[in-house]
Amino acid sequence: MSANKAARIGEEVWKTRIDKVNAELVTLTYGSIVAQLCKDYEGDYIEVNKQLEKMGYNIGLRLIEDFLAKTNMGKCINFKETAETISKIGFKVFLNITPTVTNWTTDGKQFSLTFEENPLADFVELPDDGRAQNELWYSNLLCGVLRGSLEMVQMQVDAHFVSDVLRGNEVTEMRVTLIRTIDDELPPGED
Amino acid sequence: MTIYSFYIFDRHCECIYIKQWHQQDKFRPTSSAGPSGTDSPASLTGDGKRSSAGSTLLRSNDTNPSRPGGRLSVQDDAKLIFGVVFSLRNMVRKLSGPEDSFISYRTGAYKLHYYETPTNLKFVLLTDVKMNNLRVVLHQIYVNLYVEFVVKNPLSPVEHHGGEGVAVELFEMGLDGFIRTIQD
Amino acid sequence: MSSTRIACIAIIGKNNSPLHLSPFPATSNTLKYHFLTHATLDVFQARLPLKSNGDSDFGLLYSVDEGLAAYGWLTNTGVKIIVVVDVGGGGAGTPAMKDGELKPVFRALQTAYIQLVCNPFYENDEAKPITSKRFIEEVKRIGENWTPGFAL
Repeated sequence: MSANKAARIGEEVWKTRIDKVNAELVTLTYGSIVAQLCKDYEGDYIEVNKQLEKMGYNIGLRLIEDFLAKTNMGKCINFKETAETISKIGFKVFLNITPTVTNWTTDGKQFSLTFEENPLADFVELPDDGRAQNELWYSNLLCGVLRGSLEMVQMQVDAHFVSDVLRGNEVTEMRVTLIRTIDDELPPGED
Repeated sequence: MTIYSFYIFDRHCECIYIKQWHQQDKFRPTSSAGPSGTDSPASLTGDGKRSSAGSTLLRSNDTNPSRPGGRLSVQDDAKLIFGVVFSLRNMVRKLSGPEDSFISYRTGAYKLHYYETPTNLKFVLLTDVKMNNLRVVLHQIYVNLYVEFVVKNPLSPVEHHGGEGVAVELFEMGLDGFIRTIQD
Repeated sequence: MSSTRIACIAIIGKNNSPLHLSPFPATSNTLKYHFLTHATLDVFQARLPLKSNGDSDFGLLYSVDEGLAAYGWLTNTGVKIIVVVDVGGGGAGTPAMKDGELKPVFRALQTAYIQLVCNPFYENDEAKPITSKRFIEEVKRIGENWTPGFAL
């Protein structure tokens, strides 16, 4: 599927089949979650990252069914199509943003998602304790969402942020790697 | 135009939901004891939370799998159906590529309709032979009932071992109402 | 012609604790401005019952002989924004500034404050002064660049 077709589908589904919610509500809710996690883990930002990823994973497991129900998509033929679907339809339908797909490796198993805007991180300033700037990935929930939803469609991936404007970098970029394709499960006793 | 039964199989090859109607048809077990001809969901785990009038009927069948006349329990039925559906699907994929999937098959006694989601969730519907293709119906059940009431229910687990978390009241009511409108 | 410019911007919390104070130019003595802003609190309190509902602009609070005039803005949550304007060139009399000239300044400052409060890591503790770099820089930008009629 071409990028244009995916963009068209994403736009159409966004306009017609999605209930909308106030963006600030989402931003502030997500902000309180992260702030509370930071307080609970007493500044152990590595652990906060892990928890955010875990929460995202649980969200992704369910979100994929909702996505399939709303968009009527079938299985993607290859990983490139998966990347276009994620960026032009997935993110569009749920967050109304379209990150760009960049930096493909030659074997087609790794790509980057570059976020021009990130509604989860509006108004956010990382705490000034010297460590948050280097250790906390604020939007790590999104990495978990990708991992969980792709696992349910037979793809094991690794997703992690490599740069974030909240940390002072120029862009917010997430790196997604296909580790392996998960085979269908066979019923017991059949090989 | 009758609908006999409905099954859902998850990605782990397990049957997570069975619903049967109209038990007088030829190959379904009927019993002189207990109510017949009533709609009764099969109780998979048999826990006290899901009470239904016909569950005693089905349970008695479960404990006696080798009844005379070769009638099978509900669980065995589900296993057989899964086996058929799984083999057919694999065969179709081998013959015409990973894009294709089989839609339905028909025997002298019934017609089986099949729908599979990209997340390897399988929906199966058994109806009488005169029914048109109900793949759309299965898709509707997935989109409007399963996703809305089972997937989005935060109290229902992600993995439905033994069917837990699927037979929530809203899903059952919605399914019942939906099937009734189809049959009319 | 002497230029009117902002001499100081101050934010006071709803319990009258000072949250922020920025003099312009930044090297000026802040003690004088602390006194001035503290004095404006009485004016806020005195005028509050007389203020019609919904109008946050308290306008000119009072003027000081050295050419300083303090203007105030009260938000719905009780946070007070005070802008001290230097009319320059000495001279007695009220500064020739139209009513509502400072409204854009107050709006910009209120927007900056809202953005600060929306930061999930900001602890809205009335006793502590504001340490957010982004907020302090925005206040500086507003204070240094404003001239009468300037659109922020």
